[in-house]
Amino acid sequence: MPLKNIVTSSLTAQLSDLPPGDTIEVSVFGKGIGECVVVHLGAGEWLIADSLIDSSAGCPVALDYLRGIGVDVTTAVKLVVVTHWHRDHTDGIAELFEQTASAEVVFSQALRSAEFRELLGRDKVLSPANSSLAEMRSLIEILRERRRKDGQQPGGPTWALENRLLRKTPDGDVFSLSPSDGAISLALREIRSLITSEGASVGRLCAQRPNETCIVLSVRLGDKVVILGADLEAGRDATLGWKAIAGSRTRPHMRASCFKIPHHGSSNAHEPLVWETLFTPSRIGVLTPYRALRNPIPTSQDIERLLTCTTQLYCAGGLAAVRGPRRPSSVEKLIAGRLHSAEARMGHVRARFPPAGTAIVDTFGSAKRL
Amino acid sequence: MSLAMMRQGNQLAFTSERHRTDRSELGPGLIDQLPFFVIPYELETDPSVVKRGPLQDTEPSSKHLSEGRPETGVGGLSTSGNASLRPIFKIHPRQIAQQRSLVLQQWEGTVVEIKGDSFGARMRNLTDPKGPEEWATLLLGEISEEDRCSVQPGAVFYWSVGYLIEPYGQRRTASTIYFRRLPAWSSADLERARNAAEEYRDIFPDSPVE
Repeated sequence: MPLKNIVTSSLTAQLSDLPPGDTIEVSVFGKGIGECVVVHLGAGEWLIADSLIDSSAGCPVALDYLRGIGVDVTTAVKLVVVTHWHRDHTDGIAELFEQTASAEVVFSQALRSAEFRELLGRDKVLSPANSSLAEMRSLIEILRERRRKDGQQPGGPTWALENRLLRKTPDGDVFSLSPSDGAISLALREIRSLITSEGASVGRLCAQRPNETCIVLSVRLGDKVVILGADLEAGRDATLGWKAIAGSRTRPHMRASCFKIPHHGSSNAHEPLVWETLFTPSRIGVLTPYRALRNPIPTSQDIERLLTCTTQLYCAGGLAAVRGPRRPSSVEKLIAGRLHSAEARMGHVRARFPPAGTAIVDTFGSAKRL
Repeated sequence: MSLAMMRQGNQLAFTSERHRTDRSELGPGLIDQLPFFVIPYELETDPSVVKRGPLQDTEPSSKHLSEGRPETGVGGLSTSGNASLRPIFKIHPRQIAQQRSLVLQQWEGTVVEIKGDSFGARMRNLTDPKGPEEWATLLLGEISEEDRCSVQPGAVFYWSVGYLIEPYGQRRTASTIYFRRLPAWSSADLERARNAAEEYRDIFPDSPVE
């Protein structure tokens, strides 16, 4: 797709530049495990989807970035979206929500049930340090504390489902395009299956398929639209995943020019109809790598496929792992090559779309154009 | 086949419940599952080692092990009147006290995927918590038979590598993987969980449309 003039790169880009009030910005962060997306909604308002800790800064990367460009996170961040409850998307999200005092949290409608409440209760009793739900429980505690102080319902939650308006801005809006009704039913069934009865094994409070209940967002400012695909997979039938979104008759119909590519560019999140129905012919794709797998994603085949679907493709986060920790040779001998680092160097892709003219994409850290 | 441990006075011994004393009956798989401090000892196969009499301090030596019988009596280990229940081997408590392990590195892993004869897991370094998250590919054959049914996505396990230090100072390298066992829910646990869940009712109501 050789449309060369839609994107430029500002060679003198500074991380400290604030975007103009009429410019939508998408900043995608990745480090091999984890993902965070920061979006300027216009007029100084911001949205943060998911969270990831920057180990060098020791805090959620979104806070570090926004503070670095002079944004007052306590007032300017309006939405904090938990796209799903996988650990690589929730790392530090409680701290992030605590610091963004004016933000509403957005949860998937698939979690709004007595069953999920019971799951939280059981997780609290078990208190496993590395539970997928522990960060969610911390966030909910902060939310409840805000309610206690203010007596009303500041901070949400707002429940996302297909084609729901989450926020209206003076010249734009934020819609959730998922989860679909089918995904909500599926999620309820899976959550119920995790709740075992008396005498049965405690089991693992770890859902294997929350990807199907992910929140996909469509953010518009003027005539510029970006779609954040989270980890949503293609879907097994027309009522699930990207098939449900592509086939929807009620979704906002403005086409997008930027896509945070779902599920780290994996083939299980690829639905050809999506590219035909949701995007303009010239589009920028941004993905984050995921290395905590035997075969990290995206694979080289994934990248080849995505290059044919996008005008320009960027990767936030290095595709190669950082060097593992130094260990005594005796330990290395015992490990015998069975262990490798899953993390990559932090990368940041920043795409800005002024109301007129070309998009400007800059890469920082280990991020690069593919 | 299962093993029973007997303790009398200050000595320990293991017997098979089926009263078999032939090492081949145990099989290498079962022997491998025994805790470290048991493994170094050869099994006594000669029932004549069972003697009755007052318990004596016995100092096992390599000589004893190679010859298959101790020089001193172990009368306290036999069960009077039950000739078929025989000690298989014995461990002096001083031996146990002197044996120790030196852990060089330890990880907590969470199983992500199982493919063929191996599984992949995300690993958190417990020795150096600031280290990067790692990925391990481990063979199912490295897991004990008993733990193998626990190898499921989401299961938590611990992997330690280091040295086992023998009573007389010899060191052997050791790599141990064990899975965290989760108990069954009791009615009291479930009541606590229900009470904890109630705290979230204002945010997660009964009905999706409340």
